[in-house]
Amino acid sequence: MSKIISINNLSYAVPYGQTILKDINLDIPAGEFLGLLGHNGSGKTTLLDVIMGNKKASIGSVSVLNEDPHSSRRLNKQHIVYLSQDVSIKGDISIGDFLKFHSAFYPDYSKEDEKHLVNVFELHKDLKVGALSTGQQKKVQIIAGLSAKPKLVIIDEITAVLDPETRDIFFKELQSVKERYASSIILATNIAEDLIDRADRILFIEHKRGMLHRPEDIMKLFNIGLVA
Amino acid sequence: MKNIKIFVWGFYQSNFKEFWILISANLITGLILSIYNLHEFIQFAVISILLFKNFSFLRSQSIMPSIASDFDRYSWKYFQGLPLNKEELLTALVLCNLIVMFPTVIWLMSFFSQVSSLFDEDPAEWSFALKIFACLIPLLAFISLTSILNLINFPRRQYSKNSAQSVFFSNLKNYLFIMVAIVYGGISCMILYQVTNINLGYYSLKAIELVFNHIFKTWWMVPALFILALFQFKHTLRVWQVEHKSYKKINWLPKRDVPKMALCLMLIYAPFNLLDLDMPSRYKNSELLKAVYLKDYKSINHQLQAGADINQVNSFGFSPLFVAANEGDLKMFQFLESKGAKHEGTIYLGKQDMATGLNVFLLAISGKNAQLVEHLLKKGHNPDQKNEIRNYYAIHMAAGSCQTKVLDLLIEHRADLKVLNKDGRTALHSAVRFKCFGSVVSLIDAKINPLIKDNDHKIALDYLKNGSDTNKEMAYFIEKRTREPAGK
Repeated sequence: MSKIISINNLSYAVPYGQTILKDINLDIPAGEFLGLLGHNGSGKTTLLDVIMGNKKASIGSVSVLNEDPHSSRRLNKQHIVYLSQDVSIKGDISIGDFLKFHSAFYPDYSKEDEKHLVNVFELHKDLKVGALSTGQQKKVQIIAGLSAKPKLVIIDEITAVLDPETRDIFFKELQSVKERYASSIILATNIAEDLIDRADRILFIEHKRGMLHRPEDIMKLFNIGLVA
Repeated sequence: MKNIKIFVWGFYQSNFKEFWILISANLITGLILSIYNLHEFIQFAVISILLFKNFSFLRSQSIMPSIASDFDRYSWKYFQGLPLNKEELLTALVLCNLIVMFPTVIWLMSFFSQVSSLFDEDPAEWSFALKIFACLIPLLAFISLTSILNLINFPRRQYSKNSAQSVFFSNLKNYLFIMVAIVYGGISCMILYQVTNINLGYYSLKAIELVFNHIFKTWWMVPALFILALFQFKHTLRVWQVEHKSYKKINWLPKRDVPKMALCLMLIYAPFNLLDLDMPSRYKNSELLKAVYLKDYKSINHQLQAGADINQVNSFGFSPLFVAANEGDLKMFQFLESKGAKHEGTIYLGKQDMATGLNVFLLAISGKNAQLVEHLLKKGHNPDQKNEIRNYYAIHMAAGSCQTKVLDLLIEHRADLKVLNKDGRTALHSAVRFKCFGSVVSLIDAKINPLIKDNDHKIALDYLKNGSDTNKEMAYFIEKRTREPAGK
């Protein structure tokens, strides 16, 4: 199976500051669902930033879709979708116009998928993005992201603001994208239950280092015995 | 390239409604104001409101601020997630910001005549509304600057988790970067002045002066500024403190930071070195003029022996003799005359500068040396010499700059007391407007007509109606000395 992500001996330190990640090794094949767990401040978002190319690894190498993510000449970024808690879209623009704008960047973007997702998430394209709640804004992001037929979906704690029903729909659609397009998924979350029966492997970041676990071990990862 | 087009077009489409409304409003209002001559205050209010709207659009739709915060329409993370490489993203952002500026450019084009007329006027004569407006600009700039400093002092959370020294050095670097920006902003103003003749620096300084005169010159401003500064730098002070305590723990990488800081310092130092701040800019570019200004007789002799032209003029029209006159240096003046310096010529310092158009005699008055003025009068200079560009006479200069001795000399040499400046004002108008009681006494004694009306239909006394005790005393003096005897 081809590797979508390959990380070797990755360390990341804030310039002049503390080391956040140390000696991370990870290979993600096509079609794998990787859960990313860790305490608050353990470095989950930083790892995703390094994978996205937003931050440069201090030591080690990272390859995403056979490219250095920090390189300025990337050709495969159009196959990557990034859904993050930190992404906000506001203003006077309508959902329809935003999706039109966003879709133009992705050559494989599927209008049918978009239509389907708009229906299942019960949104109207005429609504202004600025008038939506935080959860609804995340739905718009999800629609825009999953309609792009991505090879890699990177999700950073986006599920926390979704209600349980919407979360279920989201995971169902995510699973569907994974099966149809053999997409790899990395999901960073603090809600560990989201990963049970869904993730293929878990990367647990603790004390700056990452350890791979089986999904059935999730319950043992936090000291409380049961995950939050 | 394709991605840039998509980005810019998408951005334009998401803003096009407000974009075209603003452009239309600017154009239509510009057209209406060019046809109908509305009251000055209404015009000013309409143009200001439109400017505010243009700036609001610029502020809210411009993408750059969202890099610093998540308060604007798209967060920076959104752009980072898009499949654009860094060059494409930066180009697209620059282009989008240019689009956002377009309505402001249309505003400037629509009201260019009103805006450029602003630069023709002396700030001292600005209307009250304009003064308030001028006060607001530096005030807003001040607030923005403190906000930027706040952003630097309290950067992204990631950095605040770091050890003290990294925050400290990060702050230090940022302060240096800001200083570089300020220095080069000043240089840009100077280049703008050279190219367009609009002296933005002069107007900015005047506006700041207005702020200090109208707002900051209050008893509560000093403690308020002190408290603000204290809050502003509290964080930096705390960092200093922590830094001092944990000195041994410093894990600074000089290899990375020293070159950057050194470059900043060089960039700050370079223009100051070139500017030669001890020397007035109007005498620059000529070693001979510099030597005259510095009273360096040895260097002057040396240069003249080496073949330097004693009557050379710089780009502003200053010759060595003019420098001596302007500095009120009689000894140097006579020395240069002995070397063959000629009296002819006028200087040009730009459209706004009141000194533009001065000849050697008027420069001597500007130099405030009565002996030098007397020397020139004895040499046969006409006491009624006029600044042909700015339209005022020697007597206006002497009266308005409170040089009673020079004024008496001019009167003694039969200077014409009826001459008027461009505003139709006599020397008495100038004397009262600049509160020169001595000049008023000399002029009244010389029997100047105090009833001549200027272009605003005001006699000199009208400028003394409101105001200080000096004004009242001057008014009393003029009335008393010019009142016709009873029964006549």
